[in-house]
Amino acid sequence: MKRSIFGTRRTASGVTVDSFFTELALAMPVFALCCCAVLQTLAVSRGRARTEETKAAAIACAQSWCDIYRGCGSAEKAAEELFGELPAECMDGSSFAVPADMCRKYFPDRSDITIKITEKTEDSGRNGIVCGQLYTSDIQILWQDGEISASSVCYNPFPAVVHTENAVTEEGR
Amino acid sequence: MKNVLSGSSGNGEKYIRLGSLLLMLIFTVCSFAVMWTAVSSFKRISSAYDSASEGLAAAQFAANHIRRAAGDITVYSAPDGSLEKMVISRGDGYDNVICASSGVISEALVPEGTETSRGQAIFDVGSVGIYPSEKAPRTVRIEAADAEGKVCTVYAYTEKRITFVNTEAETEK
Repeated sequence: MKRSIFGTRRTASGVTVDSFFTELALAMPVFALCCCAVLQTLAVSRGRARTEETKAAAIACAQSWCDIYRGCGSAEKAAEELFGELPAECMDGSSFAVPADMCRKYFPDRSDITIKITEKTEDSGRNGIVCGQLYTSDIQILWQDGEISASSVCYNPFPAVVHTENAVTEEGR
Repeated sequence: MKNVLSGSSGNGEKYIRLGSLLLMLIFTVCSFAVMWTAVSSFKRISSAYDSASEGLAAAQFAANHIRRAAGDITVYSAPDGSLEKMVISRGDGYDNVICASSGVISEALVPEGTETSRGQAIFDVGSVGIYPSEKAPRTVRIEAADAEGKVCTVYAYTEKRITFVNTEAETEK
């Protein structure tokens, strides 16, 4: 009776397989699949937790930007307070992108964050009289799995003009 | 049905094959090892996520109270700059008092002018500090460090009068 290393035996009634090797052949793949499933679940959980953490940090960063902009009314000053002094090359007129190394202050675990800030100015008034200027700044935070945008407004009124008899007096406000 | 895990000797006694026994033992040990690793990893992911979000949540909690304050705000800081107590006047005869002691942040609603030590504990972080912003008026910087030392920074803007008090000097903003 011949017996191969694979546990098969050629007998008079045909080929039979040794039970020990049958168990190995059936049980090992099932066990390996179970291990892979567990590891995959772990990876998915970790990814989901990371995404939620990034989203919360992005919302906090956007809200902080809005509050600082309301306080100082200048996108450049607000960016300096929030991220630090930005290099001149990232300024592009009325918009600028925060360098990746400065984004790490709020997103230390991610390298795919991009933050873009824009600012625009428009005259504001009523009944055809311009009384001041409205500064609007938008912040956009992007990462691989999501995006957060926020907008902040700051109003800068012009000094009041008072007309008196044969004279015009300007009062600062 | 033939039992593949056992056999019978020539005199009719039943026995378990040694190979099958070893196989069962190996699979059992490996299964326990995989499950233990999975549970440990889940716990590690969960605690890391909770720790990181706890610091950010504490900072946002303080920031939201400052943003929606109805009256004057007084911030009491220790000599090392960490927050001891923040009293927010509600304007209805009651004050919101937020205390920080050994990293435990608690909140209490007390009648105006009452001296209170702490209320209901809400967060457990490493340390919290509230500082005036250097570049934006009427804006404060809130820094909360979690148990692992990771610092979350949030800014908050308020129209109300905010006073900073520490044991060395009194600063009005």
